[in-house]
Amino acid sequence: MRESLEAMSEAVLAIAAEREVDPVLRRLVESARELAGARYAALGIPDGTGAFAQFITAGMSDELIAAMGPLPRTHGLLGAMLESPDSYRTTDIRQDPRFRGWWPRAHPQMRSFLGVPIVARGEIIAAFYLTDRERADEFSAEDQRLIEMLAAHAAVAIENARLLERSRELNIVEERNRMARELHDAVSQKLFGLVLNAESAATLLARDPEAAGVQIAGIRELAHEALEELRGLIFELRPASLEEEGLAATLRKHVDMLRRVHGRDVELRISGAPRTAPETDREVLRIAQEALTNALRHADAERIELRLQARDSRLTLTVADDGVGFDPAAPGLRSRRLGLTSMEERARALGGSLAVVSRPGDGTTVTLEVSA
Amino acid sequence: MIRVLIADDHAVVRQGLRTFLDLQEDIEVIGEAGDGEEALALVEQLAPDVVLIDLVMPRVDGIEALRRLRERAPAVRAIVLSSFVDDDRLFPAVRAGAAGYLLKDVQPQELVEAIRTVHGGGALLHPQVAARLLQDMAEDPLTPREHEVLGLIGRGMPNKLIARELSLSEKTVKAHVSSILAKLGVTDRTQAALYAVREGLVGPGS
Repeated sequence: MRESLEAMSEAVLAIAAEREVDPVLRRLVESARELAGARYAALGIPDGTGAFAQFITAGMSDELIAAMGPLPRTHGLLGAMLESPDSYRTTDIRQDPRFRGWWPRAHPQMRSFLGVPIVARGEIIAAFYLTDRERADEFSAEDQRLIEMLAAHAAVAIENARLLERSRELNIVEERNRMARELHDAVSQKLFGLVLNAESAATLLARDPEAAGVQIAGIRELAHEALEELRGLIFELRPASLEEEGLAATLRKHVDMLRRVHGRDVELRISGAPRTAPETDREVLRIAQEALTNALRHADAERIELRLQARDSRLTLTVADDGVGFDPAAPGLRSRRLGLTSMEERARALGGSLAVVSRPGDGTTVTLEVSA
Repeated sequence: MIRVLIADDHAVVRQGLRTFLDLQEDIEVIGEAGDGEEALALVEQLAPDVVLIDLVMPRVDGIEALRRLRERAPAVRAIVLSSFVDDDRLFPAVRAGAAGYLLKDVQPQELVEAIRTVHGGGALLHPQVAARLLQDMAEDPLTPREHEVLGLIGRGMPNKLIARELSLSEKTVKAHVSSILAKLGVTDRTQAALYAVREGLVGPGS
């Protein structure tokens, strides 16, 4: 029992550290399998229309999962665990009246069964399914107690991860709104200047045609600048052009736009011709945007530089500033810099690596490496 | 001549304003500032009649500049020229003593009129700004219960009697009273009572 409790607390701590729903679920189902000593474990989240939104398994190979085909429906014993908050144990699943009498194609034969609903705020949000107790014919009352304890933690972990995901989405919306305001502000200035100059030219026309001509030349130039700016801004609001123009051109435009909006210089160096998949491009662009935003907003830097290097099949993105820097290991700072974590998550999802080198007073360098 | 100072961190806007305003018979641009601090220094040095001021500026922003302007040079009339109408800026700017609030989509001729109006002691607001301010004034800040309590304060009742009248505890009444004072921006119940009488909250025959 003592050993089990230690395993449980370890599992719960690991789960609490996750910020996204999927890894939380994967860890939960692995922990359930280990704690109960089951050969197979699954965690199913119903989608409310008779199917599972997610059905995550442990103890099964990818080949086996692929061979079984689509996710199960919420009927039979699977469905029963989502209807009442009570757990259920049996020695032989095939003897249960709710068993349909046959396994789907490629599905392993299973005997002993333990099902435990996961209840959050009075609602069954998911269930654990464990089958084939190892080294015993059936799951014990002790196994059931352990999984019920895990289920209570699972409810909290799933809810938390969902909330965190939602708040991150909201942050993105906020960031877009902020961007839209900055863009509006930048365009308004140029257009207002244009309107004033046009009015001046109109006034001058009668009094001093030559001066009016000078005014109009100025207007032409300003109109041209405004047009360029608008183009950049419209582009900024339509990231779809990434697929048409590629990563290098998109980064160049983004940096141009930042220069205009923030009135600060950002050096840009691109070497080699990066050829990467569109999904990789998108993530690399996001990481570059995030790193640049951090440098512009928090670093108080004199110099900001973005380098993109493509060599062989490696792509290296570097965003460096000579600003105030920070201690990347400081936990409080890290949580305030949500961006750091999300950059790391994106890098991991790409199968790449992200290194943040910074020291207080000594600038910050973010380096992303991915294979193209 | 109306002597005007321009405070805006966008060179494009400063240049446009200067050229256009200098063409007006009765207006002379006497200086340009790129931030709030420079604006304050130039106001002291040049004593303009009217300041056109952007709100988002480096170092000292427009709102802070307006506050200090009112302290140091209360005779100077200020017109906010912003690209936004939002509550975070609008209300502080008006409270800091702006005589006008225009947006950067204003017609140049309207801007000239605004400068003349404000110089003559009037005020001028962009219609959207005026709408927002009116809406704010029309919103009743008090809850129905607070209205009842205020009405009784207006009749000169002490908390104990108000509590008996409304079948509330004295403590609850006290809480209502302090909330009312805070919302009306007054410091004591006498002022609240005067407000109640003025607003017609004290019924006839009471």
